[in-house]
Amino acid sequence: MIGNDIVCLSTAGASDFFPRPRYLDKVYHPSEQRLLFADETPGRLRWLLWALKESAYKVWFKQSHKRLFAPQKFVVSPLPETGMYNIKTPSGSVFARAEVCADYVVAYASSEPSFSNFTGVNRCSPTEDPSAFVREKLVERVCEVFPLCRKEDIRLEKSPEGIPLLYIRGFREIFDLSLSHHGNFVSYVFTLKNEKHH
Amino acid sequence: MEIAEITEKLRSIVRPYVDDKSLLENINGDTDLLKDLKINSAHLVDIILDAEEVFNIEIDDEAAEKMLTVKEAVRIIAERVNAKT
Repeated sequence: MIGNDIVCLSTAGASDFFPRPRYLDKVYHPSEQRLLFADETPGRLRWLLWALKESAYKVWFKQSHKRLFAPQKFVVSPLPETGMYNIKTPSGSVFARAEVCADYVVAYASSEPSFSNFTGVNRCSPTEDPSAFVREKLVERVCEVFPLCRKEDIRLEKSPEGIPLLYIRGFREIFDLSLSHHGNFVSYVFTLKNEKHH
Repeated sequence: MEIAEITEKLRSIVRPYVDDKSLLENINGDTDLLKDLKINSAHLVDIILDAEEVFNIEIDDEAAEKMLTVKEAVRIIAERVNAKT
């Protein structure tokens, strides 16, 4: 299972750190707060940790089918020298990687320790509907990965629980996907059917 | 405090975090803060902190976990407000 989350730093207010009392305790585990206090750019790290938690929540939700708002229960630990992260969830751990850019942070989480997938980030103009735009970008990318596939062959649906599903001519060739949008950016991730994880 | 009064105050609390204000017009118990009002999950923390200030209560993590619908949010707030009186 995979999940992603993107945070547009200008929309989130990355320079606005520690905005409210008690905020930290409600969102970040003490070990994460130590990372924030030790960091030179805590305003950005705050949102990186948030994106990692949210991406892990999406994986956990797909596994547990439980809705929950408990960010402090998804605890991020950087894995030294790998650039990856381990995120403890209410049931087990997930793995994640992230990209930190000047304008956004994006996180991709997976239940597998090693995962290959297709990811993309696009800038979305304020006149676009971000939800439709990210789907459009996803469909374009799927057509690149499957050269014989045309846009009209692709059908995007949502499960009753809100989990996105993608069909190509009626088949689930895309094993799993996740979409996210925030502010000026959209992000998608998908893995192919029958992909073996090692 | 009456449920209707709590619901009205909650509507004012969530308002700044809802982009499409027309969504606020049809709020009812089943309204989902994330799915129906399209509130970004990062703002749920702000809503919980705002509710604590407005109602002068404390919402612990265990209760906050369930604050995903108007019905649950009102129930959690009402329990705490009415426990004080």
